[in-house]
Amino acid sequence: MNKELENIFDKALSELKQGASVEEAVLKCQPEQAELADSLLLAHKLSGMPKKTVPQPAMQRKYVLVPAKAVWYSWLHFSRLATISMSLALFLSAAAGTGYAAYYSMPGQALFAVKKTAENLQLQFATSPEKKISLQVEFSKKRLMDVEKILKNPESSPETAKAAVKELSEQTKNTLETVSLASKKDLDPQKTRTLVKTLETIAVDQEKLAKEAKTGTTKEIAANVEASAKTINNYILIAANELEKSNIQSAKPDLENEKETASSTTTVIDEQPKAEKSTTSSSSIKSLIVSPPLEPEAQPDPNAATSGYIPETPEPQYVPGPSLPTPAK
Amino acid sequence: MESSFVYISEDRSYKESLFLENLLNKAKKGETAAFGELYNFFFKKIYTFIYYRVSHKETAEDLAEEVFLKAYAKLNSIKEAGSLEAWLYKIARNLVIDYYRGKKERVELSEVENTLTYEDTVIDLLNLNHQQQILNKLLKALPQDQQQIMRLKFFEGLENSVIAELTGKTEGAIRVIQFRAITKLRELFEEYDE
Repeated sequence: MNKELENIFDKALSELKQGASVEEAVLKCQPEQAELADSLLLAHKLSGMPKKTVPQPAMQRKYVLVPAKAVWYSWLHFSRLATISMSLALFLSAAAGTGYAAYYSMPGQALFAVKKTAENLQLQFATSPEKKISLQVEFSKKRLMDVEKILKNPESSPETAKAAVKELSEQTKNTLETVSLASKKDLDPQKTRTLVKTLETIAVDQEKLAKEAKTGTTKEIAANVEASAKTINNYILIAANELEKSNIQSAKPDLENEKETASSTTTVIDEQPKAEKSTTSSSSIKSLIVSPPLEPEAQPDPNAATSGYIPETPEPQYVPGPSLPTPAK
Repeated sequence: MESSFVYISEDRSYKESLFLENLLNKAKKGETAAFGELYNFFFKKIYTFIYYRVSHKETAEDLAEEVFLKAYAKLNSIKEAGSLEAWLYKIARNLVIDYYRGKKERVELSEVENTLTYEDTVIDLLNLNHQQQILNKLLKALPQDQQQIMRLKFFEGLENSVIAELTGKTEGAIRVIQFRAITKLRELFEEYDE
């Protein structure tokens, strides 16, 4: 079928509908007049057939009773979709702005709570214990950096510094708890060794910071940071003990190295005289790591090598068991 | 003469489109008066369309009012004035179907469609002359889709866009079907005359 012909015919029908005579409509059909004239005449006859009478309607205008619509956005000349998209974009940009500001916030500031919430969410969504530990370690490093920044900034207030140290202590505690919980579930010596090394690094950093702080006027802060580092070191000792007990034979060469690292770390925080420290620390670690697993009944001598080495560390490192104990506060 | 005729015809359609576009934009912004103008422009067409299908004045009035209430509530979903008329007819058609469904506990959609499109609800059969009676009879010999489009186009005078919306076909398809139908009817009419 010729499409052009159909279109010409349709245009001619429109002319008829708008009141043109058949002759006038046929004139519009050039050069197909001859072919379409009869069809147009027939269409005219069909249109002219008598219709049933339609009674005059009552126009009630019920739409007037409908309350005026709230078209607050109509002046924008936007579609609803565009309005929703724009609102969403504004909301997202505001959220992104808050997130950005929160990311760089410091302890003691209002947006720091947002940062903490975001970190807690990250922990909630962490799928494996390894991921949780790695996040906690990362947060510990961040808190340490916060304290460093605050201490280096002469304009920061003592309240801010206190808040930062408090956050550091709390984060250290949380990290150790997470590590302890994970260790209870999975006593893979290799993983435990890696964790111990990471914690050592954090402890060393905290001790360095404490030393730097001691030289200034922030002695209270230095003491707090030092205490935090001590907590980690205590935990490292406990972990080393448990590790040795659980895997003494297979991990012996590695643990010898670790022993040296741990002893070198602990010497930094040890408040005892150097002469005593150098002898007790190495021997205590050695006794913890190299000695065979203790019998359940066997109790350590309180006056043995460890007694003078870590005064704040309680007995748990000597309690045998499959899981790691919670570190002493 | 010819060019003048074409000019006037197209100009009138263009003015009407502008008029409706303007009213629709104002009505979308909440101007009730603009919607009132649209109501005046379309109400009788919609009422007539419904009346031919329900054959009852008050029912047709109520259904037509409901069409405009629905349109008033969802006016922002109409993007351009060109599709407004077809949209109103579609609402009317759906309301008529709902009306028939409400009357009976169970009614087939095809039965309602048949009532709406193929039965002689528009033509005044009592006042047909001889030639018109023949045409009406020959019309029933056409395929159903052609019959439906011929009735909507020539008996009810609906636009191609409206017919396309009501039948679910494209405007191009409507032009093809109407041309085929009129050609076939012409052939049948010539055979009948002979």
